Amino acid sequence: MAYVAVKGGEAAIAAAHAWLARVRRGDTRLSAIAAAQIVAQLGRAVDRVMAEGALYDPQLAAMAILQAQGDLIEAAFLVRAYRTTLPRLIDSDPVDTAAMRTQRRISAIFKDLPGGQRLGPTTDYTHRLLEFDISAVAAIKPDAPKADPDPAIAATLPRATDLLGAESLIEGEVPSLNEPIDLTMSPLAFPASRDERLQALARGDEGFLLALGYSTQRGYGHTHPFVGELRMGAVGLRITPPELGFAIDIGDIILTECQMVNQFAGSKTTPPQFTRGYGLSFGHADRRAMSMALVDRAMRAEELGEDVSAPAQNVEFVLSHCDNIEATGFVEHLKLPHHVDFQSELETIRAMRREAQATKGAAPDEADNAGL
Amino acid sequence: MLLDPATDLRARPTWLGILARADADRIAHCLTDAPALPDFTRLRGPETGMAMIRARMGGSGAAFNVGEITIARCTIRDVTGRIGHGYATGRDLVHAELVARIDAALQNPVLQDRLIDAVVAPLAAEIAARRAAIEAQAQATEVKFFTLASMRS
Amino acid sequence: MSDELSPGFNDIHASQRCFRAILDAMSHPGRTRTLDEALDPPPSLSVAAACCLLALTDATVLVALPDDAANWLVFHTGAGLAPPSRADFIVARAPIAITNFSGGTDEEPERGATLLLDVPALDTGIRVRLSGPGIAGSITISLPLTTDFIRQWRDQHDRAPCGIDVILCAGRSLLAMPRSVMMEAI
Repeated sequence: MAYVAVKGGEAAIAAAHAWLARVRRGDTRLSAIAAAQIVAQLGRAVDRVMAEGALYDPQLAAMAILQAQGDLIEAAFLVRAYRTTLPRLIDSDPVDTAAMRTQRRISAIFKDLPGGQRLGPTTDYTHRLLEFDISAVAAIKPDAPKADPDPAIAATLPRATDLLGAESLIEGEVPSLNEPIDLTMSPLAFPASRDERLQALARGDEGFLLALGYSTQRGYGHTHPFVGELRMGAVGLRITPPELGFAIDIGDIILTECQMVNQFAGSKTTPPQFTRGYGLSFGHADRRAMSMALVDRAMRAEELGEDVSAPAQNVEFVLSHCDNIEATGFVEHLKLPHHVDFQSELETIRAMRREAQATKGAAPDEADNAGL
Repeated sequence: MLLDPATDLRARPTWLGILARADADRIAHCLTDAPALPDFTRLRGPETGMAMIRARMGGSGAAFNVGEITIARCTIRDVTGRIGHGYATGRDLVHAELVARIDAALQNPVLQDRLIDAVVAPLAAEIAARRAAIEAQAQATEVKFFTLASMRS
Repeated sequence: MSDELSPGFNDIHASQRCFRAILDAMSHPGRTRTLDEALDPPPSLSVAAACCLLALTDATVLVALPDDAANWLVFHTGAGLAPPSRADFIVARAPIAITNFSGGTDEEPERGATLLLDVPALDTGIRVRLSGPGIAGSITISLPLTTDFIRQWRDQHDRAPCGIDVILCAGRSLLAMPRSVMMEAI
């Protein structure tokens, strides 16, 4: 497809921007929202924009949400655009999620999880009804921390999947010395290794991941998933700057991790054992981490000798379409001027019609005279 | 580590981790009770950039890249010739420079004790208190699931 | 290493000014540009060469340069170090054989290395005539090169678009010779 530059419309564009600015602000009798309020009160939206924008910075995500009128894909786009202005200074040491100070840690496979299950801030175990006065809810249900937190209970608790690992009932995960592929430095290439796939999923569109994960449960790919463990909490971010030569923490980040446990029959070389799907997301994002884990496991079908028949198992399909910044760019570019392209299509179709009619020996029909 | 009263605040990685987790306003406030920090020259930054956050497959396997995070960093040399490095998540250049200046000063035996008392120890206590408050809420949501006996066995 | 550290650029604008100067020099081969950045680089680097390295390198490139400047550059830009044959940027104090340097590939000619020739002066040496893109007609100047270097330069045109680019640095001045420049000794 060829593109031809079109000029003009500056005044209209400026007026459109001005109108948008007024629409964005809304009714000026109401107070304007500050980015800090979005960070504090719309945390899930901020987390999603950080994940899909692939940049952990709650303040920037909130500014982007405000600018984009709450359009989270547009906000993620703004964050991605901003990140291109920043230099990459260092790669972190891999985060140690076993050392997470868990706010939430639940397992669907172990009732008596050593260290206990902690629900964290959630409505998972009750009905969810629309509250007509959400500000009143906090007033009715005041902060109820445990009066005497037990210092003997470590906030950092072992992963449930490590318990299965101790009995070799689940496949092992072995550290590797290989440098992981970085999609921000080298474009997606197929066949994609698992590190590349996980990075693409971590920044992938939540709706797309959710739909694919759901499809695996409904029979498109058979993964028989259980949530081995879902945990959310703060993890220290550690780097080893060359000028220091030792590791230092540079802050805490909130992560959600999902360890999905899946059945696997075993093979000639492998005794029957459970397999894993892994999900990790910025912020508190159960749905995203779980969907990611389901899709990660589905994409391991070939590696595990399973049939590759369902969309979620098709690595090229999933990875080529999971990025909503790319997707929205290509879909939405269709609304930009394509006048010249279309003109050539028009001419082609007219010529084809003339040719078809000439061979039929019929007179040109009226459509040719309708000014198309 | 910070909940543990035995943590040695005089270890450089420890104080850098504590200073990174504080914010510039809190650090500046603590410094009002501390000896003046030596004059300094900037060697690098303060500047903003990004770190790539890495994680491990399944939590313990091969590494992969999750996404980036904004960071600020600064390196200074103070008038005594000591080099200080400041790194922190976020984009606060003032914060990064303060961390670097305090890092240099903390390496100075003449200043270390007083800076530990005035800055590092109070900030460590604040971090510990914040964590304890979250932990208390988390413990309040601890649950014991139990299985009901089957009615028809 | 800490004792030998000296500051890099004060701010991002210094880097941008240098980038602009290099771009301008590359666009006008043979024309000398002077940089007025305040910089106190390691002794083995001229201000111009140091500015080029600060402006052009980051953690994604490999650099071959004198030992006493290596720590300084790594500290400031995070550049990696490599032997000249694998480096994206090579710093040399005199004209050297360029045949071993990476010229890029037909698919990625932009991967061709850049040689920073850090010399005492730009306008002494042999008389050469330069022509090609960026030069109206031709210009004749003196450059601190050797006839052997000029022969290798001519030879690399057989590999176009692959090849290396050269930035000549002396003190605060720089002059660029992108690979497309024709050069003959007169």
